[in-house]
Amino acid sequence: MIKALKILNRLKRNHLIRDYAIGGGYAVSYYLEPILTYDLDIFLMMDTDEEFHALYDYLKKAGYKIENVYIVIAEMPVQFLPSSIHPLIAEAVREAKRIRVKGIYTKVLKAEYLIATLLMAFRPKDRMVIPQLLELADMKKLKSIIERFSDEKTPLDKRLQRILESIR
Amino acid sequence: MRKLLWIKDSKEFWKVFGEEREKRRERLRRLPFAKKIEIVEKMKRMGVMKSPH
Repeated sequence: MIKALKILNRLKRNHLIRDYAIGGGYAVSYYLEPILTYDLDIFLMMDTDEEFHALYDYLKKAGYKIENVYIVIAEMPVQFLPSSIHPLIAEAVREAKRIRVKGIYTKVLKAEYLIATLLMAFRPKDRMVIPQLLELADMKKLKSIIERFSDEKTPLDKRLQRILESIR
Repeated sequence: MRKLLWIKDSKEFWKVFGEEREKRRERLRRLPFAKKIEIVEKMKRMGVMKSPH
C-alpha cells in the first residue's frame, strides 16, 4: 500500500495524475477500525476519458499488470475512479484531507465525501459501514453534498434516508 | 474478554460481550493509519477473506 502511494505520487509529479485521494475500504479503515480490503480505490481528478486512457496506456507500457478493472501497482490491485464518472468525485478529491503515512504525503476523502461515494456504490458492504461513519460526519455538510449531487440515476438522498431510518 | 468465561447468565453475557467489543473497536479506531494498514495487510496475508472480484 505504501509503495503504491509512492508510485501514485510519482505519477502526480510527472503530471500523469493531477490529483488523487484514497477512498473505499482503506479510507473506511482510516476513520474506523481496520477492515479487510482487497483493493485500493483511488479517486482521480481527471475530467476526460482521454486523460484516463493516457494514464492506462502509460501504466501498461511501464509494465504494470492490468487485471479486470484493476491495475496492479506494487502488488496492490488499484481501481481508479476518475472524476469524469461523476462530478461528486472532483469535489471529493479537491476537498480531501491531506495526511502523512509513514512519511508519505497523500490525501484521504473526508468522512462526508466518503459516505457520499459509498452511497453511490451502495453495496451491502458499503451500507454496513455508513452508520458508523455518520457518527463522525458533519450532517449539515453531508446534506449539502447529497442535495447537490443526487439525481435519478444515483438517488443519494433516498439511499441516505433509508440508512437513517434503519438506525433510528 | 476473559471474564466472559465466568458469566453464567446469558443476558449478562451478551451485555458484557457487547461492551467489550465496543472497547476493542474504539481501541482499534484510535490506532495510527500506518498501523491500521499493517493490520489490513496482515489479514490479507492470512487469507481471511477471498477476493470478491
